[in-house]
Amino acid sequence: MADPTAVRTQRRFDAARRILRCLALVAPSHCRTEWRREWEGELWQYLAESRSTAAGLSWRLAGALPHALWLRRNEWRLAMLLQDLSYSWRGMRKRPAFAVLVVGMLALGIGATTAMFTIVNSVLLEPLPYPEADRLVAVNGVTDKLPNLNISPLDLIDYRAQNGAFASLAGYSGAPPAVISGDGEAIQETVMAVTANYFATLGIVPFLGRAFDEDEEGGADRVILSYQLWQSRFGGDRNIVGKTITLDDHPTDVVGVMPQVLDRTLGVALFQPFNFRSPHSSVRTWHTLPVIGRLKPGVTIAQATVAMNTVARRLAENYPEDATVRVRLRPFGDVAMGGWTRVLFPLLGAVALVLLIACGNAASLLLGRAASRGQEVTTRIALGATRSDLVRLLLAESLLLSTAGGVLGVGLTFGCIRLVRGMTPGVLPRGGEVAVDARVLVFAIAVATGTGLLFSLAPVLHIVSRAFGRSPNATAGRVGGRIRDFVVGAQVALSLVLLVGAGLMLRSLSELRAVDHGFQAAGVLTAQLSLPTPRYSYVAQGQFWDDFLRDVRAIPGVRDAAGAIRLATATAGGNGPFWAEGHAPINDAAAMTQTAQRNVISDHYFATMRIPLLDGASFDDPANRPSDGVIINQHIAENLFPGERAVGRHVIAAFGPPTPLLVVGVVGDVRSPLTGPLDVMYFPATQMAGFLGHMALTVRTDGAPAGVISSLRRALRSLDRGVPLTDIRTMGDAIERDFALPRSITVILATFAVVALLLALIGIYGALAYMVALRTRELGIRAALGAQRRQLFAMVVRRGMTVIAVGIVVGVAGAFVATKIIQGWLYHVKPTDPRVFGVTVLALAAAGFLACIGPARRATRADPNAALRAE
Amino acid sequence: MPNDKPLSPAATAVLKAIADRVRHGFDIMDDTGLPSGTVYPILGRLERGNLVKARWEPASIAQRDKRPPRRYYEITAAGHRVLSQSITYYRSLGSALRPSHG
Repeated sequence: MADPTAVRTQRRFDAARRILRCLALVAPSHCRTEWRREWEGELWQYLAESRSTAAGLSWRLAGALPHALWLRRNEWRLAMLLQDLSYSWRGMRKRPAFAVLVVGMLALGIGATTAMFTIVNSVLLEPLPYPEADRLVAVNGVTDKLPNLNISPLDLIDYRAQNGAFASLAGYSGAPPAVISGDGEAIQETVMAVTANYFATLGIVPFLGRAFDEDEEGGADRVILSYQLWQSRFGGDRNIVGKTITLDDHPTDVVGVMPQVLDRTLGVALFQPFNFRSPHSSVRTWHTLPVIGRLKPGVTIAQATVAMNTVARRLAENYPEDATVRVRLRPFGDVAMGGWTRVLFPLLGAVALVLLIACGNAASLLLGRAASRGQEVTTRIALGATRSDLVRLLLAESLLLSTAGGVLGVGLTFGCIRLVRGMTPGVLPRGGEVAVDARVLVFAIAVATGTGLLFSLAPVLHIVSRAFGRSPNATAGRVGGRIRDFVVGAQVALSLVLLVGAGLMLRSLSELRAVDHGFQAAGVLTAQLSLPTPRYSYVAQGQFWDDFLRDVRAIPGVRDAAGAIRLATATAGGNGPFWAEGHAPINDAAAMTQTAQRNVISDHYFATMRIPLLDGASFDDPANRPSDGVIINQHIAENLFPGERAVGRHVIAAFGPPTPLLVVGVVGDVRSPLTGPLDVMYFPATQMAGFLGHMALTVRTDGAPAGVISSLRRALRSLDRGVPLTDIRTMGDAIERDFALPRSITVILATFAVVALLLALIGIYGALAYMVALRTRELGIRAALGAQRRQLFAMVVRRGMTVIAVGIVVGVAGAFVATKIIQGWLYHVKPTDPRVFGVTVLALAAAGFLACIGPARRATRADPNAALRAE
Repeated sequence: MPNDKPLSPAATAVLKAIADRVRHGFDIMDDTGLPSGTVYPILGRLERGNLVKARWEPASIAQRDKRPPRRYYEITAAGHRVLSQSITYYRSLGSALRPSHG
């Protein structure tokens, strides 16, 4: 009959033994058995005593792991590690080409990866450089149809007064550029209109002077300068505060200068107070202000959302025409940078692939070297080296190489960053802030260490298994060969993924460029002109443009010229809802679903841009300029009057108060490749006084557009010296600017892909060359037995192409998955586009074949006599 | 080799226990009150410094009691020397820390 106590003791002991068996793996192999026996002996004795409890057992058992770790730690004493390092260093010096090659490839991979991480870190991970930036919140309105409205100024006043969650709520808005004149050349600068508490909300203290007061929010002539403008235009004059400068021909007082940090984040030259009393700000339904708020201490976004929605509901009740149903609060950093997550993280993934391929080459090279160290390894084992000793030696070598690669790579990173800083204004926000900091260095160390461990995995496994394995010699060659095949196959697969990605982007870019814009961009020059308002009454503005266009059209080489308040591709701003007579939308939300851009044009505009006139007449004929006349594009005509003639019909547009308009002409659609067809309503400049202060000039030339620039300047100067001609560029360049982002991504991906391909080809070549070198004797014997050179050649090529083929298959499967990530970047191209895949596979196979040729040729030169002699 | 620096207080306690004929690891734990994660590394260090000698108990005894054999520790002559040095050191420390009268 079993004694229950004894049974329980035995069960507890078995459990403890199982635990000990697992923990025993931590202890070094040579003392593992003894360690286990000692612990088992003690535990049994404890359990055999009657006072033993489960808790007591656990407490005693708890020391087993620290003890095993302590034993393990003694194995890896620092002195031995240093010895290994110095041995590795001497070995490297004896074979410098090998070390240089490995370190070079690693530096490339680590450097590129770290550079990309630096960008990700500075743009996405670093909080905005404002104090307690995590307390900053972006506030948007939400209606039934639209999730992201700005806030109207009147609503902002109410939100400020009635919510308890925000320490401050501020609004900001881009304003038309202003011309600074006075001493020095007249220059147009960017302007931002801000509420008085804007800077305080951000937490920014003026560098000189003060921020705006609330009573200045009524159109006062005050301005705050940016640091950059203060330095460049005003020479860093410390007494600038209180001085008066001439802005748009108004005398304007300078009340302050902002610190440099705003130059990097906002990039605006001038700040003016937002005008709450202008007609634009007095309509509650005009949602014109992006709003940023700073939460009170201790308030969460969720709490603030509740508080703000209470106010929103109250506003909706009191002002039903304002369709804002509720508000949406998001961390300001996310809103400012959010879209870039989808761009930068995939690029980081892509560069990591390049790094992996470089690791593969390093692993191959080390494997090659490992094979030739058989003698050294045997000697070490004979002298008493354990598995741990060997592993430690090999790891020391790899870490030495990867650390050197890491150091060089970080140097490469600094260079890359300088490049990025130079080419990013306009493409990457916060581009000026991209810099290497502590987090980046930690990342670099981690990547270098991880890389070292990764690429040493194969040679370490190979050497140790061969040294201590059961049947060392027979399987060693095959195992080593299989590892190399795997590495090469992986490299081919990874480079295929990158090549497909780059190919898709290239195809997408060419599709973007091929889009018919609806006008002819080639041969058109554009520029911006601002007429300072006090000097030019509305009548004078009209007269100026008449004179100026007449002069420009007289310039030899100019086919035609016209003015418009915005260029054909400018997509932002100036939208208003429209509807057919009798089809008024039920509320503002519905109205906002159908909007058109308002463009005010001079005569000859459609002819200059070569936009086809499809029906009716243009504004060139003075008789065709009724005071309520409008020209619409075909898309609007088809929407409002399907199957009927639009000319002569009436349409209501609400750019201001709803106004009935008469359609006098229909023109072809203008299209932006990135956003699709634009709905535009064209108004004649002669009827739209007040709009001519800031216009764009378009000039169609016979030859190269750049040739007429000096003539244009001359013509302008002869009319008025104080009016600058700015932003001069060809229409083609203006359109290219829209493509800056896809173009940058394509360039980066293509670079990665080419580097990856080169590395992979090196890998293929190296692996085959090594295989041939290893099997020289076998090849010689085959030759001696009558094998033709052709057959030897084919044998090597077949071996190489088999691995490449497998790599391609795996790569295609991987690419199907991976390209889904960049789906959002592609225009008119499916992520599984068969042409791109087909071309890439063929190109890779061909390149791989070429890489096989060298080693295959060497195989044909195998000398049968040498082989037989060696026998 | 025993160095001239005194042992840590924990190591002194362990060595003293061994000198007092507490021979097995878990018993030393009970005697000194230290956890096993402390005691065993100390035993390892003492052994490396030749202050204690570790032996397996005779297999016959283990078989007789029907249990796995246990390892036991004995203090060496060098161990005795170091132990008395350490005890003297800590005693003098203790008297220096005692509040002075007057």
